[in-house]
Amino acid sequence: MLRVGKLTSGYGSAQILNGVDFELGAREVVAVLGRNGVGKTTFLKTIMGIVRSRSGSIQFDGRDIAKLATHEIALAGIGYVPQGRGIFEKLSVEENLLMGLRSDPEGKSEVPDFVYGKFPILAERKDQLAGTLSGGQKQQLAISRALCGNPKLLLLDEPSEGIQPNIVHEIGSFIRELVEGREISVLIVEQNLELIGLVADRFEIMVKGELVHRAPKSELGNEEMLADYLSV
Amino acid sequence: MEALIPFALNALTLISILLIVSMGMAIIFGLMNVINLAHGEFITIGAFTLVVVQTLGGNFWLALIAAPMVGYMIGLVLEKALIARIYENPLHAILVTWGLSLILQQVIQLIFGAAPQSVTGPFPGSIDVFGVAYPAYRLFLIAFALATFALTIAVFKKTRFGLDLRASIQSSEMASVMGVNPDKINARAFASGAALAALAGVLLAPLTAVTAFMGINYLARSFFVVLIGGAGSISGVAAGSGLIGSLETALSYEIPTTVAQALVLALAIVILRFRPQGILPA
Repeated sequence: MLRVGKLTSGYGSAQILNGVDFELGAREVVAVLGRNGVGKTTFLKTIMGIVRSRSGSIQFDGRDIAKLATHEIALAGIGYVPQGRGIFEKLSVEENLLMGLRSDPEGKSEVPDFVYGKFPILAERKDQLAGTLSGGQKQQLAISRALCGNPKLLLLDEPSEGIQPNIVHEIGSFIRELVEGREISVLIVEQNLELIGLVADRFEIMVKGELVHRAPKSELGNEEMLADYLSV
Repeated sequence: MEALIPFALNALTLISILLIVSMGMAIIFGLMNVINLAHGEFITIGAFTLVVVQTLGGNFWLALIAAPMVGYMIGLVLEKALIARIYENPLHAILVTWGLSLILQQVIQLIFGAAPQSVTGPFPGSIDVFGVAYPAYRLFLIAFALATFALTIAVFKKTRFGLDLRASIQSSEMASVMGVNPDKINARAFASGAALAALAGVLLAPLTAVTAFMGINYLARSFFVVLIGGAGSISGVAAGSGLIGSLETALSYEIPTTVAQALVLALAIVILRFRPQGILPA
């Protein structure tokens, strides 16, 4: 599904990713953990073409996407929910979802039923400006919007940030449902170990722009190892 | 009361021209952060489209259809060749569009000469408005401009292109994450802005001396309309046009027009000092 090899990227003279090797299978959910500033967000942005890769390869569905523009990567089937959610605050809830349909391979022009079925609050507020939603609702909107394009791979950057614990749970079970219900893989950058435990099949740890440790979910209980890599 | 009617209509004439010109500029500024200093030349291009059409024996209506197309095509070519390369750097954008403005002025003057061209509009004569005779053409201009403004708002609010545009104005990066090609949106928006300015040029031509430099007159005013109204905001354009258009018309009754223009621009600077984000920002 996704195969990243020796990927480097950065901003200006600062190199952030120093050779990332990563693989993600079909219908697999993998979490990337790490301290602040190690390059997790840059990793997602580089896959998405927002930060240009400098060397290395990004294969998606057997196709090299490292040199594609962001909108072409979206059209190839990658959905992305950035940190802070990237909602169009001055568009209505429905207009946000319509924007999500732009990358739908079938070119649908109506919001799919499952979105409003799963998150009735979005249906209730569809004519309201998206900026007026609460943090949790915005996260629901952001994930729903990414799903409107029917992606094969979903990139999530800290979905639990700024959200109440019960909604974190809800979002976690929704992601799990997704993977079981359709052909989708998820790459999630997250600090919240509880959410990772809920959704991920396995996790990898990033240190200084490289993925240094890969582990099954069961290792989430290994506090010594986590403290080694994650504590400040 | 009777003195108020021509004043109101004169103000409306200027406001409606400013509306169309500034709308294009506001979209370009809001979307690409480019202050298009060559925007006025698209007004000139529109007016000269009318000159050419009438010289070839065509009438005003043909020019009214042709000018936006000419403006769109020239806008599209210039965007692809020049503007698309300079979005990243606002200073380059100012220098390049300013240079482009000078070049366009000189090219137009080379082709058509320095003497003012005369064109004729439709609807000679006057119409009685509440007991005051007012030129029929100006009434048509106001109605047509307001209709164009309403249509542009409809495109902005109701169409697929309009939604892409509004999303891109808020965040070009997130719009491309959605699968929207930013180059395409930028090119179409720039060309549409040019088409609107060219349309304003045709409407304006019968009321003014058509020369290669006629656009400059409107550049500063529409620039301040956009800044005062708030970049990328259509309702801001309406507010800014209303304010600048009516003030300038009112002042022109008492003092020379050039002084009135200077005063209005000075006031605009004062407003921006206290409200830098504009009256109704996007």
